[in-house]
Amino acid sequence: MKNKTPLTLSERLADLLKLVPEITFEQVISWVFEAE
Amino acid sequence: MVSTASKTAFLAWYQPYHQRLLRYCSSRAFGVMDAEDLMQEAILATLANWDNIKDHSKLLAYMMGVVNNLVRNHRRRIPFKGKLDEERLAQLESKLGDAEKALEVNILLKAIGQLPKEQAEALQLFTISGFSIRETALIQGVSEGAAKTRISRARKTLRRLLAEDGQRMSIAQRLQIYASILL
Repeated sequence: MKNKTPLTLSERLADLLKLVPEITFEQVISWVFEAE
Repeated sequence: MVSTASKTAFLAWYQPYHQRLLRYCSSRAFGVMDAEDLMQEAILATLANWDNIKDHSKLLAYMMGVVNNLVRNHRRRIPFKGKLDEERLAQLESKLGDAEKALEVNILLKAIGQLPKEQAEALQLFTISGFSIRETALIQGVSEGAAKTRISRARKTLRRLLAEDGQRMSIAQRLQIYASILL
């Protein structure tokens, strides 16, 4: 079986950033103006 | 009720922080709650206090405090933490599309969870979210030097936990470290 090198801390942190959802500023504007 | 003028002023203040708050909420919420819900609640809670907090330099710290409290309260309501971990791993797999990468990122998230709270927060603010050292220090209410030390200690501990410090360790030692993260 191939012995893979574990990911580095930086690589793992970069993968973590791929998980950030896409929420636009326009969406925030709608939350703010719809809120009472 | 918040006036339209206050809402507009709040949005002008908030806009430059949008991407960074998004990253922070995402890193705090992952596997615990929905990042979008967290973000919306934090924004609306900060907006509700816009007129009360006259010193706007304190708003960022206030907003992060709201995020942290929401995550803490949500986490407390989860009855069985093991299930949380399984769900998080499944979520990671579906988002990253790679089971091995998902496992490695899950180990990172668990390792961050093992850091002292203030070190984990400094790392999430600076390294993951992209706040500057000055902003990280301001949010944490410490000097810039102290914020730098927290980040550097966090990275050092993570490298050790992830066995990335180049030190030769026996398989038994590595297994012990992995078990401490995984169990």
